[in-house]
Amino acid sequence: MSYVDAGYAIVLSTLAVYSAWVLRRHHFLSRALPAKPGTSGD
Amino acid sequence: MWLGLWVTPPSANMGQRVRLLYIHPAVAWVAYLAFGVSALASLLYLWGRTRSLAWDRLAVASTEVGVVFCGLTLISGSIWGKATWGVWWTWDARLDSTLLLMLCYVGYLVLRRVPAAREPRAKRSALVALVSFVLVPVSYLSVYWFNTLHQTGTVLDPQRQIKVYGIMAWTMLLGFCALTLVYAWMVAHRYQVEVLEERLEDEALDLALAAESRRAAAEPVAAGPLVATPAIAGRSALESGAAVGQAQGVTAGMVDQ
Repeated sequence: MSYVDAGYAIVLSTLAVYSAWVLRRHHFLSRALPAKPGTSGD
Repeated sequence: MWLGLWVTPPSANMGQRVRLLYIHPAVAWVAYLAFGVSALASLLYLWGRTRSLAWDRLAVASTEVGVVFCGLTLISGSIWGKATWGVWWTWDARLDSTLLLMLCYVGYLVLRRVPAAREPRAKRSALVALVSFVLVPVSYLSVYWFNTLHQTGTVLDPQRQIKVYGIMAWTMLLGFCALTLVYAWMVAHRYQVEVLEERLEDEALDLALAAESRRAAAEPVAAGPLVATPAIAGRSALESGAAVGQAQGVTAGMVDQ
């Protein structure tokens, strides 16, 4: 693997892992908490 | 990525290593943007007229994403440095200032973990974000201020003449736009996570208060002056460190990490 390939692989995989972590957390919290209608969370 | 890896030609000076040009400046730009948004949101939080915890949530979401991109800037830069200079790291002004920038914002995220009520935590964090943002222009301008190994501006030279042309320029621009959109998407979702975590913390606090009330009610009444108990003092008294810490303990137990 060249330096270029390694660079692209690290950037893309890090972004993918972080996105997956955020989405998983979002999904879990959305399911754990009941929906609160009419609130903006502020 | 397809353009960067396969379509664009190699450079006359750097050969195939020029392909790192399409990711390294782009992730650096997004890191600067993220810290800028965080600083702006922090300023809006601190300014009385626009004070709202929504700005605090935006600041923390943007900071976290910014730290990820700043880390990628250092890693991709390190790889490019090894390919170009033969070393993974050198104590160069641009590299040092970027590393310091990342450490400051990691400190911001660590500070957020200190148990505290929301308003003091938001105020503290906002101040740290604003002070740390000073390093963004320092990091960017360091290649002009100091005699550095790191090259000067990639797109424009000091005389503001464009240095990148044709498909290389378009690929760079596309990379900047694509990663900016990725940043926006990440911040939007991270903001929602922050909203939900605050709700979870509130509900855990309610449970902790209810448990405390039941415990106080179950204890025999002591003779002498009436002593204020947490059940009597209510939510405002409990929003000091101790009860928030207990609520966070309940939260940690409730949430699958």
